[in-house]
Amino acid sequence: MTTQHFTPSRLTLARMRRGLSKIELASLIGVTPRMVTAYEGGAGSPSAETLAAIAEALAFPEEFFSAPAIQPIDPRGATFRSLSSMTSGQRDAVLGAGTIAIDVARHLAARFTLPPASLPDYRGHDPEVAALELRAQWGFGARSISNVVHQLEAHGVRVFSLSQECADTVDGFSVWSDGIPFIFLNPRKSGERGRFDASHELGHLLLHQHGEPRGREAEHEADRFASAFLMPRETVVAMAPRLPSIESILALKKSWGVSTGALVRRLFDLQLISDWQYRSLCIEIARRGWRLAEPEGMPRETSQVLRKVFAAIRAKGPTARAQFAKELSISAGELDALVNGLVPVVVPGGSGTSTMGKGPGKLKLV
Amino acid sequence: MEVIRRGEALRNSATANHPRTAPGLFFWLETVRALRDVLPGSRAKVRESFETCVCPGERDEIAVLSGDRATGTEMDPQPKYPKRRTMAQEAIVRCQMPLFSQDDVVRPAGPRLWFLLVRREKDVAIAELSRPEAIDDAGRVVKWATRIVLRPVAVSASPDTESRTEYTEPVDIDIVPAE
Repeated sequence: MTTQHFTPSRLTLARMRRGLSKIELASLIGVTPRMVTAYEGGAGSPSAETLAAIAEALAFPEEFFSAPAIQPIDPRGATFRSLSSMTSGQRDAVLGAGTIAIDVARHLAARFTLPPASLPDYRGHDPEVAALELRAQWGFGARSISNVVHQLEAHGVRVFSLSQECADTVDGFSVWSDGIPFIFLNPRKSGERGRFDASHELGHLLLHQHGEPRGREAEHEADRFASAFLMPRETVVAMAPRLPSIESILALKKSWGVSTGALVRRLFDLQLISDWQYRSLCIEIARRGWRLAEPEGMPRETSQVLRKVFAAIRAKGPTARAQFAKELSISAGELDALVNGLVPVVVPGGSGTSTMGKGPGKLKLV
Repeated sequence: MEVIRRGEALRNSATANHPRTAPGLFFWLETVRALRDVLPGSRAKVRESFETCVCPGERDEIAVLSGDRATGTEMDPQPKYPKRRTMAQEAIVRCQMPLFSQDDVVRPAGPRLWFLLVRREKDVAIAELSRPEAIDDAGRVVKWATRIVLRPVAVSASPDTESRTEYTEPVDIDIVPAE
């Protein structure tokens, strides 16, 4: 007996989300890879028993596979900032999570009036000039940005977290979807790195609109944009010491909420330190282990939009959040993963397992 | 130590917008001032631009100078920059055994002249308080009478720039339930 309502694109999405190949999924659910291809291509529907096996193997509710069709993010339209070479499975997992986040955002936009997207198009601009223009347009002048994530959200960017299983391989990623800009941040990074990553992804959204250039050139441009966006030349020149010591770098980085490495690089790019000074400071930063653990780090920035919308949903009753997840045909855990580190999530004392909407718990930023 | 710490802290406050000579100048200005501050009963002495601190009792007098790479080591240190004629003359007059004649200088020997030589090595200031025995008329020390190498001083970060930083106002995003 085949399933009455089965949406092939949902199976593709769920498989991508778990980073599985068709062969791996087929092995898990006891069918041939050809049958998985048929299910995903719409040439056949799984039986009720097979659907149950699929749901169990992929850890999605069965309803997920009969929900309206959903188009996974096209890898050509997304820009990754990878820590290392990604496998196709890891890339699929990131894109799968991103697709679900876009679906979450769509549902939230139906319930709430969210800030409209208002990013300028800076394709073809020099990154330094683009950062300067954006700072002027957003009324920052030369001031340091108190909260990058809030500024992005105020200008219509939807910010979500990368899922935990991708956190070792990806720094961040961004994509445009139906005119809405999305940024996904790695929740394991320091507060300073999180701000830089958010600014870097903003650079991609503005400068590249996910067309050309791509690869290392695009990454370099996004880095230059982030650096200029967070550390305007005017204030760096006014405050940076002529003879920067590692201690003065440590004190100074707090003025812009950046890492010691990012500040030293900015000083070098602005020709405020020599090649020898740059190398010496980089060596000292590495020697002190600051590349792995930022000293005197700042707390990670959180999402104001997600905090407010989930607070509003939670205010409707103890089961409202679980109900919201059910509307999306995803588990509460799947929803938690998308906002991990960005909003307080209800977890029961001791277990560490998310219980969004499943009864009394305590708020904890995880 | 406090004297050097204060001088180095002001050196660190020189920014890229200051003139290029600011770091060394700032260091010298503040160290001379700090010497005079921390030695109760001392007095400032100025001859042209040669500024010193005469210690209580008038037996000793200290000038602050940038040292070279030999400062604080077993090598033979020298002031980093050739000093002006005034300083050279002052130094020669106080040296016990001037090697070169300076017939045009007719001054009584005053307090013993000491040089506080300081150099920076990354985040540490290395200094010595040393008394020249013989100096040529270019200000080059030919022989040292006494050298006292001081303990290295960890240099503090530049003044609190964070408190001088202006930040963007907090954002309050209005989230309204859809109709």
